[in-house]
This record gives sequence, C-alpha cells and structure tokens, in this order.
Amino acid sequence: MKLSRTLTLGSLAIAMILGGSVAPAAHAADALQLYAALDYSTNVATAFTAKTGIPVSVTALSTGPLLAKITAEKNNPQWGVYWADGAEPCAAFDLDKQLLHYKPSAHLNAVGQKLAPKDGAYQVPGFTEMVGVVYNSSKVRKPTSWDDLASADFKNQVGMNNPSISGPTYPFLAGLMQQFGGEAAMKTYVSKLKDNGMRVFDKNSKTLAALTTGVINVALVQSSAGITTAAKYKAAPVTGLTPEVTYLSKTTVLPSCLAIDANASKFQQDAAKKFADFVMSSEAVQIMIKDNAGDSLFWPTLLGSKPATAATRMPSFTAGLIQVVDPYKYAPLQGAIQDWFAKNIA
Amino acid sequence: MTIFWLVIVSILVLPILLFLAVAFSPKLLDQGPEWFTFNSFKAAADPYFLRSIWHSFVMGVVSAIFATAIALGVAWIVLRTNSAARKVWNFSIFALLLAPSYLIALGWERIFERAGVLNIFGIDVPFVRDLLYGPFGIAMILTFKGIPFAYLVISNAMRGLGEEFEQAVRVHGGSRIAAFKMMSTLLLPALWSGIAIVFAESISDFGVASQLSSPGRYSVATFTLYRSVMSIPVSFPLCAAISIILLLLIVVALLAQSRALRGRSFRVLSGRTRPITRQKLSPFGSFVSNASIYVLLILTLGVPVFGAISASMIQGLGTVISDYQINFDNYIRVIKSPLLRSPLLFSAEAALITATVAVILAAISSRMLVSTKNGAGKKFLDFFLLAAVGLPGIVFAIGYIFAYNLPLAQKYGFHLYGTVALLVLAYIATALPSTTRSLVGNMNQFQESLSEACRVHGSNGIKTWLTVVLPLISRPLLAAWCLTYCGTLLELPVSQILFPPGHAPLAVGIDHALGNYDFGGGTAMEVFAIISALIVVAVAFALYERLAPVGWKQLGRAHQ
Repeated sequence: MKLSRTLTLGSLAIAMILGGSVAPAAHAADALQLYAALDYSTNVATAFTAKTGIPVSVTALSTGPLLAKITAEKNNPQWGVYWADGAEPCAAFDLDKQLLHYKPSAHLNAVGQKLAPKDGAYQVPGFTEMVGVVYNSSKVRKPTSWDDLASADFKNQVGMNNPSISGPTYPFLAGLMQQFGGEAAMKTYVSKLKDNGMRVFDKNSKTLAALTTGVINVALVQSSAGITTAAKYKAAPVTGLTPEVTYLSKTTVLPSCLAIDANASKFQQDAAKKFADFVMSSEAVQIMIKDNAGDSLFWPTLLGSKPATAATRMPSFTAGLIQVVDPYKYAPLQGAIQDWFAKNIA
Repeated sequence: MTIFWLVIVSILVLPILLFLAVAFSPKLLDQGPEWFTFNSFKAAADPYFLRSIWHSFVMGVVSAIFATAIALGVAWIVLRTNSAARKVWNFSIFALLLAPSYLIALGWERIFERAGVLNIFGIDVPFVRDLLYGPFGIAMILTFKGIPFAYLVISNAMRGLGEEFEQAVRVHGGSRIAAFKMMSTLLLPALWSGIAIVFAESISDFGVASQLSSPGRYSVATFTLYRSVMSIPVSFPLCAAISIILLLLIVVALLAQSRALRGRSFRVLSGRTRPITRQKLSPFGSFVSNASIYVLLILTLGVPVFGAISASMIQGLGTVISDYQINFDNYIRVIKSPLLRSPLLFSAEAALITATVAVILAAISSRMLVSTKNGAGKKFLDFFLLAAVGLPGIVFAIGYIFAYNLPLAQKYGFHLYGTVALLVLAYIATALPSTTRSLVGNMNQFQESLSEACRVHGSNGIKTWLTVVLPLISRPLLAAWCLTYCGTLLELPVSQILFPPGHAPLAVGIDHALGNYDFGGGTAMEVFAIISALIVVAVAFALYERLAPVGWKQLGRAHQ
C-alpha cells in the first residue's frame, strides 16, 4: 500500500503546486469583489482602480450562474458588489436583509428618481427595455400590438426567452401582468402566443440566433440585444435578413442595479460605497456607453448624461409607451411564475 | 491507503454529501429555515419533476445499450479485422469524444429545423423534425455521444484478450458467432463498465437537453435541475432532492452491473497474451464493415462538423439559398483577439495537470474496484465515482462551494475557494469517475499472480508496478489521459461556478462570446479548441509509439 500512498501524495502535490502556479490565488482580501453580469463592468472597474487605487476583482458571468453562486455562498458571502440587469433579484436580496443601504450623492433625472429605491437598497445607473421586438422585415410585416403578435400573420413566427434562464425575461412577464391586469391575464396571453406556435429559447443570444438562422422571424428580447443585432446586419447586409426593432405599447423598464453586500467586511463595504459613487458619475457613464453595442445601449439615469448614439432608438419615457414595475411586488411571485412557464409554455 | 481515502473524501465525497444534505437540512448551509425537513422531496414529487426523471432514466438505458452494442461491433471491426476504415476510426474517436453534445444536436437541428438546410432545398419533413425534437432525437444523440466512451473501454479490454479463446472455440468446432459470443462473455466487465459510463453520462448530459428537450417539450432531469439552479430565487434544497432521486437511478445501474458480474472471473491479461491475427474479410464483408464505419462517422462527426461550420462560417444560412456567404472572418477575428489565446492556454495547462493527476488516481481507484478485497470500501468508492459522473456538473460545482467556502475552514486559514488550485481539484474530481471506469475493464483482466510472483522474487511495490503492471496497461492509461485532457479542455459547468476572477477558462470565454450574440466567434473558438486538442492527442500517441519500450506496445498488437 506504500505505492498507493506515494502515488496519491505525489499526484495531489502536482495538482496543488501546478494548479497554484497557473495563477496566484485571486480572492485577495484587499480587493473589492465585484460580481457582475454586464459587459462594461471590467472597464469600469479598471477605471475605478486607476482613480482610487483600490483593486477590483471582477467575476463576470451571466445573471443565472452569478445568482446561483451568491446563493451558494450565503453562509459565507464572498461578494462585495453585485451588478446586473433586473431589479427583482435585488429586491429579493433586500427582503432577505442581505443588502447594505447606501445613497450616492448623484443627481438623478426624472426616470432615475422613479427607479431608485427611496431607502437606497440598490443603485440604478441606467435602464434598458423589455422587450424590444426584433422582426425580420424581409419576411414579416412590422407587428403593431401585443394582440397582433398572437394573430394568424405571426403564426409559427415568434420566439422568446425562457424566464428561468434569462435574467431580463421575468420583468417582461411582470410588465404584462401589470399592463393586462394580473397574473391570470398574463398567463392567458402567453398561452395564446404558445398556441400560435411561439417557440422558447434559453436567452437573448439563442433567441436572436434563431431569428438570424430563419427558425423564427420575430424575437422578443432585451432592447440592447435587439438593437445590436439590427445594427450588425445593417452594417453587413444579408439578402433576406433585415432585422428591425420596434416596441409595443407598453414595454417595461429593465433597470441595471448595483447592490452592496450587508454581510461583507468593512473594507469591502467601504470600497463598495466608493465604487457605487464612481458608477453613479458621468465619468463612469462615458466608459459604459463607449462600446455603442450590447449592454452599452442603455439609458443613463444620471442628470445630463446622454445614452450611446445607437440607444436613442429606444422609445422615450415621456411618450408614455413604457412602464415601471414594482420589483418588491413582483419578486416574491417570480418562482411560481417561472414554474408555471416551465410546465406550460417552455 | 489513508491518504488515498482522505483525497477521495476531500475532492469527491464531501462536496457531494454536503450538496445532498441540503435536501434534508437547508439550515445547515443557510439555504432555508429548517434543520430537518422532507419538504424539498414533496416539491420534487411534483409530476413534472418525476416525469423528467423517468424520461432521463429511459434515455440513459436506451443510449447505454445502443452505444455499447455499437461500440462492441466497431471494436471488433477495428481490432480484429483488416477493414480499411479502422485507421480512420482510430483518429476520429477523439474528435468524437471532443465534440460537445450540444454541437451534435445543433448539427442535426440545422438540417431538419424549420428553414433549415432541407427546407432551403424545398424538402419539408415535419415527421422527422418531430422525431428529432423528442425522445427519439435525444436518445439518438446521447447514443452517438456515448459511443466513444464505450469504445475506449471495450477496445482496451479487447486488446488484452488476445485471440487464444476464440481459437479454442474454433478448434473445437464452434462457429464464428460462437467465438464472438465467447469473446463478448469475456468482455463482460468492460461491457458493463461501458453501459454504466454511458448511462451516467447520458442522464447527466445537459447539452442535448438544452438543444432538444425544451423545444421538443420532452423534459429531462438535467434540464429541470439546471432550470432550478438558475431560477430566481434559487432552490438548492429542491435541486438536491432531485439529485438524490437521480442517484437512486445510478444505484440501479450499479446493482445491475454487480449482479451480472458476481462470482465470475475475467482475468485473462497476462504476459503471455499474444499478438492477434486479423481476420481477412471477404470483399462483401470488407464493403459492409467499411460502409458501417463511414456511415457511423458521418452521423456522429459529419453532422456536428456541419453544425460548427454553419454556425461559424456561413452568414445568413437559413434565410436564403442564393445569397449566403461562406468566409473565415470569425476565425481571423478570434486569432487576433487576446480573448481566445489566454483562456485556451489557461485551459490547456489546467487540462494537462488534471489529466496527469486523474490518471494516477484512476489507476489506484480502478485497481481497488476490481480487487477481491476491500468489500465495503470498494462499494463506497464505486458509488461515489458513479454519483460524481451522474450528477450534472453545475450541481457538483455548487457542492464545492458548500464544502470549501465554510466559515470554519476559512477561520483556520484554509483558503482554497476562489483559487486555481480548487478549480483544478474540481476538474480532477469530475474526471476521475470516467477515467477510472475506462480502466476498470483492463484492471479486471489483470492476473494478480503476475505481481505476486514479482514480489515473491524480491521486488518492491513500486518496481513491481513499473515493470509488471505498467507495461500491460500503458496504452489504456494513455487513452485515459487523452480522454481526460479532451473532457477537461471544454468543461463548462464547474469552470463557470469555480473559476477565479480574471482567469476565465476556455469554456467560459466561449459561453461569454455566445452570450454576447457572437455566435460565429464563439463557435470558431470552439473549433480552434477541438483542433488544438486533436493535436495534443496526436502528439501524445506519436510520443508513445516513439518512446515506449517495444514490450509495452506488444499488447493488443496484430500480426500485419
């Protein structure tokens, strides 16, 4: 049995030493731990470090795995700041007393004041729309209303994301509940879409891939994703594929939210507050909109800040086409609605 | 052995048990208010979940039986006949092993989906499409994905078998079929290992489920589990309850295996195993065997390659036939981007370490599994090795957070969570079950008297292993190393949850590209990764052929 011991010890030593040598340990206590699901988060973190000298360790994932990680770490949280699209997870964290309330001294525009919680549970530097209706104008006409989408003209043409997998999609369903007058009305409408041949894909990227390969001709996705795809095919046209974005009355505001962990160390919380101050500054907004594609296509809530040039295609808040839902009202329903969707629609 | 068990408990048993414990005691890891409850099982008993678990079980059994049967036939053609197609297969097997199951499913979808390739050419086959988006399609692709696993196990065992036993049957008047039956009986440990691996791999596969299960509305357990893990709010107690039910299915597989092999000996591997003589096939036999291999390769490899090409090189496929464009833009973009280079190097290095360590541990584990001693320990190890492969990767990764993010451990300076070392340990634990299982067939053939004779003549344990055991299992060890390397390079679920900030593994980089609507770029990265892995496999086998002593290469060799 000496052989087994030698081999086991040797192999473990190899794993630990070489594993350690691939890269140094990353969870250094002197770095702010940022868990983010937004493309520009790394660039913002880099600029923040350059300005304050506080190092930031960025864990960049999509919303689902990020929330799974945070939940799994609950008995010993490792995150300092959470930053992603969608207010419902933050509302759920807040109801569970996991958030440190903090109010940066930023001046918000009218929309920002509407979206930011009064008690500073989380910050809202910007918002996108749920949903942008992306349609292939080479194949189908422009949809004009929610009922229109359920008509014979759009039979077998529509696709949407699965709210269990796509973070931004539950707020869309919450918006339908608010607009149509309740849970039952939303379920009736979504069931009608399903009966009309609507297909469900995992998330924005998969639904848009289905649109660009011709499997569907109308995609209900996050506005920023829709605008990016439309712009891509406008720049490099393909015959028969002309994605365009439209909005149906009403679309729902999807805020990007930044929250601070109430159970983090003092260092993490102090650094997190400074980071929140930085994110809510015009300097950070300029970094966030720089790419002019993907997550950068949001509307800033900071007074005087302008969105990326491509983002101006979004409907104006003042035109009355868009609505805000109360995340504290809809967050507790999320599990049940997703469950219903999985069993009946997906 | 204490050290070995300590390692197994640390990297395998503890994460699995802590995750499963949450089903009974959510409070234990702050996942709910109850210290002891069966509520999560009540939720898991929902007809929707039970149906998806039953679907997984059926898919697992069907794919395991078909994949093993096909692999046995292919192994016979490749190792025992002069079929010309055998050389093509030997190289293709690793490409098949590398092809992610979602890519195989994607390729099939591209052909049959609405506005897919057949549709573009004016052919509409809704009946076939409906079959694809349902149990038939899922079982078919899981079978294709399972063939290389079963083949590696069976072919290794067949190499060790020699042809003396078949000759004995023939000398005594037995037919070729009787000889094949005899060979199959002697290969039973390997066949059951193959069935067990494919079954466990199938019920834990997520790629096929994500592509076909949801659109086809045929729920399987992995998709349900994934949905529960990714849902907001996340319910780990429910996931753990579903996982426990999934593990009960594994127990069924283990019981079947142990019942089939009980009381029989399959120890045929010795120093006297002679090179075999390949059967010369008749022109008709040659045609049939070649055609079988090529058709199988087209179905299993050709279709996913088409899926990859259509995703990464064709702009606008599915919209119009007259104006689609084929180009290498995505590949050029990926080569220039640092987003590929560093994740590829990082993952290659991690896969190298993982494969090396996992093969060493798997050699010990597989020896233990076939040992006539260690009754309870053997069953314990067997269960956890299969449990690890049967549980979806994401569940396993969450178990790692539970185990290595404990406040108590960190209080005493045990800071493994969030490091590359922990990620590599998790890779090893994920790879260990299939690596071990791939060696069990060979270990079962090994005659213990060889080592005992060596020890009686004064050799110590290490020398005995190096001079007696290693030469006989060197090729299977190399195959297991390649299997582990390929499997680790593109591993996503564990990487996604456990990667340290700033060091994204390849699969996370690809997922990020796909998530950012860069479908072409992401798939191009995947194709590059597969090509790089094939190069590593080719180099490993070339080095073996060049550097290994002649005696090591004798086993399973045929007279030319």
